[in-house]
Amino acid sequence: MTFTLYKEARLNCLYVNIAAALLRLPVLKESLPFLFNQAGLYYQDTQDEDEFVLSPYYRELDDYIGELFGARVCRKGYAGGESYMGALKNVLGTGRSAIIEADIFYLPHSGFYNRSHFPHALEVIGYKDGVFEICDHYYVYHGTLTDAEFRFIFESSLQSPFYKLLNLWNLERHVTKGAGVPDAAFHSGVIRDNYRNMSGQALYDCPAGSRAGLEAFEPICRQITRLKTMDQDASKFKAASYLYEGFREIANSRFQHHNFLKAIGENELAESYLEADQSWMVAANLLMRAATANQFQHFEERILNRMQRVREKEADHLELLRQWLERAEPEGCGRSFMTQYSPRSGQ
Amino acid sequence: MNTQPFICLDMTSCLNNCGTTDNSSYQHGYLSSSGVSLPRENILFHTPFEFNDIPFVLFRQNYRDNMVTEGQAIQFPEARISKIHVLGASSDVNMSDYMYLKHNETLLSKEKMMLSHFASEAPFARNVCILETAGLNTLDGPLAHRTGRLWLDILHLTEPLEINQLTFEDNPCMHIFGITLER
Repeated sequence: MTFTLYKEARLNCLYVNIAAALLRLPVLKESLPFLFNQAGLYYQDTQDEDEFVLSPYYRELDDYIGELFGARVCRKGYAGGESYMGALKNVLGTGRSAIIEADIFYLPHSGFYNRSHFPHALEVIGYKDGVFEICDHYYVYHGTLTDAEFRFIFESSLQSPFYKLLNLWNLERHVTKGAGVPDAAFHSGVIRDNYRNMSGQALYDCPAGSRAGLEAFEPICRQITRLKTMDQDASKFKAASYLYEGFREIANSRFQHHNFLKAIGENELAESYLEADQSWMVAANLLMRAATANQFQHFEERILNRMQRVREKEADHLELLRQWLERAEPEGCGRSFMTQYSPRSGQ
Repeated sequence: MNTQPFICLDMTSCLNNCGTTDNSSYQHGYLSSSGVSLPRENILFHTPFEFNDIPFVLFRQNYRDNMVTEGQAIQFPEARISKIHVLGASSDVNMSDYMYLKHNETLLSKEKMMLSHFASEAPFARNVCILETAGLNTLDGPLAHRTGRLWLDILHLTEPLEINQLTFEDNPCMHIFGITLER
């Protein structure tokens, strides 16, 4: 392994590990902005009214990993700590790194050790003489854990309510291609898909019945206003955490999309997406403050005011993307795109 | 009339957050929503200091040492200002938002303030690191392997303005530790 930590604070704990594993394949660091290109939005209710899906990603990341790098992410789940350890050692024995998951409560290097439970992922890059070398890129930690320590972490994590299985991920390259930077057709495709999704289309892997793009703001704000009416703390904080995690991931996606836009020379549009990133993050911060103080009524107006700013910014983007696509796909293509994907028709 | 080139604003009445702690006060830290704070060692409070020839004074009262921007206003004696030096940091991400320059409630200018994250290693290009700490504090004690930072952002006005009030957006991610106005 030619490097230890990959420092990127704006990828979630799974994506940052996938990025690090890709860099070890290797792929060019300059190509990563083209991978994390999605800046969409969808909301979906579930059977449980306290659970819902809120995400900026309308398409599986694996599609892009294949298209850009000729690689794929192999994932397998394990129900036992020993089998998990064994699989981990097998992957490491091939000279590749592996991505593992664990309850952060049991990870000594984190600020949440013995304090809070939630799912986390990190990369393991080596194993020698009973000692694993770990890279927790998300928390900027490079260190070691022994067989016994890892066994305890895995067995304990499997007792956590959010793990029925522990997943193990590793990358395989099946085609020697695409270590470079993609072409203009790829750029147009990315922007066109983001425009379509934000115009209200549930694309690719969006679940059936989801509300896409700007249409997602209505159910999101409905969930926000619902929080003050909920008596059961467990339900209330569960719904709040879905919103909070969703907002942060949406913010991350806008940040990554700003990197994509900078990479293709669209600096002004990139700057606007950076402002959107920041605004989503402020909404998340306000929500966290409301939850910490258990004062959702008190914070509601502030959160909704910020959501209004966020929506206005996202609506501005829709128009800027439409103009970009008109310039990039003029005449025939542009007209059919405009007719087919008008934000007013949402068709 | 005070004609000193710099005015260090007294932030005492605006302090609403604890961003620095020592080993007796970890539990008060709230620079981030998880209770992270900067180690207070080597940070001067109530004592003027200079950075790049610009004077600053940081204030602290009852554990509070910074102002989280929540739509409040800071008022001061009228002065003709050409630059505003802001010392602070953001939580969550590198953050920017607007500061409104007013004279008696009349809005004269809207300026974008940019403060990088308190642990950022990829700050805004225009921010300068004014202070680095060895480690960060959590509710449980020090995280020795991390580095904390306070940043300087300089807002250059397109023309000097006679102002007596600064108003901020409701953006609790932004923590302002000190403001110096330059005539």
